Amino acid sequence: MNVVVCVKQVPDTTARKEFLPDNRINRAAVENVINPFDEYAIEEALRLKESQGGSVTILTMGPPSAEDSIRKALAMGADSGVLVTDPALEGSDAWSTALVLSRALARLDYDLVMTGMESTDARTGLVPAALAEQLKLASLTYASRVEIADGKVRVNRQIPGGYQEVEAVYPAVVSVVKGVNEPRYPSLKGIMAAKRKEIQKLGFSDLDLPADSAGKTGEKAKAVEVTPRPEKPAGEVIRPDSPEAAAGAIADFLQAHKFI
Amino acid sequence: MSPEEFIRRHTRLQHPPLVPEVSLYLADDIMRLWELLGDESDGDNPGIPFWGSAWVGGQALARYIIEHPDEVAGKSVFDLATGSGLCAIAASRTGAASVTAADIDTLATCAAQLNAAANAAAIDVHRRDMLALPPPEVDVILAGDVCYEEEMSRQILPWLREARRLGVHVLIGDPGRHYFPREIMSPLGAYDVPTTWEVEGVEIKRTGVYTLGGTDDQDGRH
Repeated sequence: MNVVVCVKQVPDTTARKEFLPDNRINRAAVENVINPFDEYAIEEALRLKESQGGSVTILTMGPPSAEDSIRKALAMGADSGVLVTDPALEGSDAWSTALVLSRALARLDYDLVMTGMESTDARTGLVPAALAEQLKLASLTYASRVEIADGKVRVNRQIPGGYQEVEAVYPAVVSVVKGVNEPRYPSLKGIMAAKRKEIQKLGFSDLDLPADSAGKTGEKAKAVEVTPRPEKPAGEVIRPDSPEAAAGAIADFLQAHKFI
Repeated sequence: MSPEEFIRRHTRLQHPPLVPEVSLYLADDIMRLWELLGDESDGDNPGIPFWGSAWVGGQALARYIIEHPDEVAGKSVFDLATGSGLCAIAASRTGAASVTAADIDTLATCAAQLNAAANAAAIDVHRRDMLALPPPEVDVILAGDVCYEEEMSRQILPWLREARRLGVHVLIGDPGRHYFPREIMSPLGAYDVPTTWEVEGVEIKRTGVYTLGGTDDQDGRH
């Protein structure tokens, strides 16, 4: 079971984000980490490798600094990494990201492609399905459980109020939800050891794509404006004289806001 | 710059928190040391300063040896992947009849020699890939924190099992690394090792000391 995990490097979710004049996040101004949702995909891929044999390859598109995220994934136990990096790819939207990843995947041997359900920066959640479309493979999204049996991949697909059981012959693209597993923590010693593993680098010219298919010139969706979320108003502090008065105040609050 | 000059310039003698009776040339900032080394990596220098930190598995094993001198006193001891040489130094100071140690890294062997001298410990340090050779004919083999990587664990564990089959007493310190096959180990003790968020993601890491146990027909892989 050879699994390629598509990983995105994103700004640390706790960092205050700045935006460039073209409304893209200024990634150089913040600390960047592995997309937290992708860590679940990496862990799931490693578990499949441990139960089924095979290998785990990490595929990332991003700036040269995205190599750090591949190194962390290698330290978790992935076998190899591929970084697609080129200034021409800067500003790619979800569709062209999927297009670029699909061309890189054409150079790799895989049975499954795994991703997190979305990235914590753009949050489009489009890339897994767009990737499956580009690859002409089944798309199994929002998986909360992944099993391999009889040449098929079967997932519990999270839906409101429960889950569907969905299966497909593999190769297929599977995106996983948060909580599908508990990602392992790579120690610094493991991260250091991962330096011995090779990371293959690909540029735009390696992908045999038209010049206007990715980057700013290839975007189909454009962020035209970014508006910060309004600051939350300060809360109201009530200081009742007795527990009974406190209970009454809470009940009044809940009733006024139609919670009860 | 020679390995000795590099080590003396970028580290200083410090006491590992769980083994304060030992002094080692350690980095104040292991990440910075790693960056510096990366610029000079080559075939002899993998560019990874495993020798520049007292890893929790090595500290626990060294502490165990000091508290249980009968494990090594009067015996011939070999320390695998010695790094800073901490476990070898603990064995030497606890009365081992002879101590040898090996590492594949030129800087590690140099650091282990410097550390041995700083602690007046008699240790014979070699730069050698021991896993390419049969286990040495010694009474005890020490392995501190060696299961942090899949490929290395895959190579080391059969080698240690072969040593055990030949009658060698194998002692291992490990904080529960993912590739550590706990199911084929017999626990001997455990320590709460002070560490840092940067290195282990916690400030105290519970770390065990084990000897190889179980059956020989298990391959020890996850």
